[in-house]
Amino acid sequence: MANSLISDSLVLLQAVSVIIVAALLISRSRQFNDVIDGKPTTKSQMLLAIFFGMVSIYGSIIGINFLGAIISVRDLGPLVGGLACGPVVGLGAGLIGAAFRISEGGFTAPACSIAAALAGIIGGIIYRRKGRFPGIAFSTAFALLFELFHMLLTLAISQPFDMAMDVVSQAFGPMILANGAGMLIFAFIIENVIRERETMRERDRYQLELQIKKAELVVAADIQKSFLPGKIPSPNGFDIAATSIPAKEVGGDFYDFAMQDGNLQLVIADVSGKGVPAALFMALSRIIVRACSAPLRSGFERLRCANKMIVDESGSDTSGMFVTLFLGRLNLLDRILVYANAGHNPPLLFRADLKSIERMDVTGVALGMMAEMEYEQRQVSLAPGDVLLLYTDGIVEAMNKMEDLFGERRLRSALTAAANLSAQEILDRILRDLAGFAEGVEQSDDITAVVIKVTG
Amino acid sequence: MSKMEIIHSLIDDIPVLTVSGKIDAMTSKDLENALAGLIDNNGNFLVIDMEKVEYLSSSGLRVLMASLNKLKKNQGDLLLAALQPFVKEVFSLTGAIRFFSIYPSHKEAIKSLQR
Repeated sequence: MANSLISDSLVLLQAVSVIIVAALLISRSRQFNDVIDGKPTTKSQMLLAIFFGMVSIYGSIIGINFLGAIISVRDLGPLVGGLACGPVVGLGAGLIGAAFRISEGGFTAPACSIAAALAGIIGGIIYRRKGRFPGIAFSTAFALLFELFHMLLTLAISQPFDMAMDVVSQAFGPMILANGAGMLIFAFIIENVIRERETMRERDRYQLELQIKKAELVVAADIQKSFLPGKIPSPNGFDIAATSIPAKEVGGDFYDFAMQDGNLQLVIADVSGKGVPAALFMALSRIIVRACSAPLRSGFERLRCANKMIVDESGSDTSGMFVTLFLGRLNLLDRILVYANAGHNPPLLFRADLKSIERMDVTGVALGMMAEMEYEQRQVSLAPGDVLLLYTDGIVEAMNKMEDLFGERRLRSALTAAANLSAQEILDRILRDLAGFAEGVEQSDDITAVVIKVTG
Repeated sequence: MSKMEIIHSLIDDIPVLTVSGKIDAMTSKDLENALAGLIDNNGNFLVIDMEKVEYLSSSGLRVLMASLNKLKKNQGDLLLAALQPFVKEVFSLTGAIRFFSIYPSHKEAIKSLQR
């Protein structure tokens, strides 16, 4: 008795092994994935019903004939079909399994075929109720209980009862064991597939979102580029070059030029932070500074106006956002530069005659920090050969691998070394020195520079 | 990579944040969260000991400005202590130095509050 329990169980477990291999294959099929994704077509449901029906038939064929009854894992196919794929697949597989069992005959045929059909139907109803595969523990417990029910059904309707009793006592152990183990492994495979599909769906969703964000940023970057002067002015006697390289797609730096009554108005500015928040604040600040630049206003008036508007309109009070800004008005005839500096990195002025560098110091507080600030304005007189360098902190605060800063000292060296070249060449030299210093360390802040050289 | 550490303490019932490392675009978010928690939970005065802060970017200064404004609205203040030269330069360059009370050490900052 104990021997046959073991040998019968082994036969059934061998059958289960074959079924598992088939299950692994089917779990990779498009039809199965359609069902898992919750959008099964009629065709995939039919194919799956046939597949699980075949699994049931295979279970019958490989089963052990005992006194005209068949000890088998016939119920496993319909059970899994119903639990994992719903009522249609469960019912189909159950009917196929049942029909085959009837064709085999024997005194337990009615009970066993009813059981096969019910396995699929009840499995399908559970799936429908839960809206999904009910999980590993539930499915395995259900399979064990169902086999118990199968045994009781056999006892209840198979005649003669004594023979049914013999069959059940022989079949009880192996069938519960093999169907339970089969379901356990099946359930594992199905759960894996479900989780895999979920992860994939999430990843796809995330990637789609990312793509949309990227596309939006590309548009934003284009819009922001259009804020920069399309053409660098080239007034007589001056050579001008400028560049702005955001650390991310969009940034918080900007520069601006405007020709007005024989004057060149120039602005360089840097909004606190970087990325999208800085870009929004930059767009607002740029418009405000322009709006405040009515022709008659002097530099300090423009800064006072811009500061007040930024504080009033931008919510900088709560966000703490601010913008450092240098603005100048260069008279193209007498080469006098009147400037005001709201907390911006002091521009450097290379003097050709002395070969020395002057700083154009801060004359007031960064814009947006506090309303009602006063700004001073100063002026310098430029001479041929002089080079004016406006820049943002992305240059002096660029870091190398050792986390050293590029610093003003290196910037001054680059400027001095290149001062006799053209404006563009001076700019290139500065950027080259910067790249050489950073040695491939990622740019961490927006970089902007404007070079104005007095040529004659 | 750039790292920042924040240690919370309570000295004579005044919350003191001891910050060390670099306050840049990345780390300033952590500082912002730490400050937001304190401003919501605690009294109106806060001290930040910045002796071990070696770098402060404009993102970091933004966070400090926002916190200062929030505290001042509640008749409070944000006191800064022990600024290193580089950090102090950021404050003076932008002009933010005008709005903050700055002390040589957190002890002196606390003493000023007890007066």
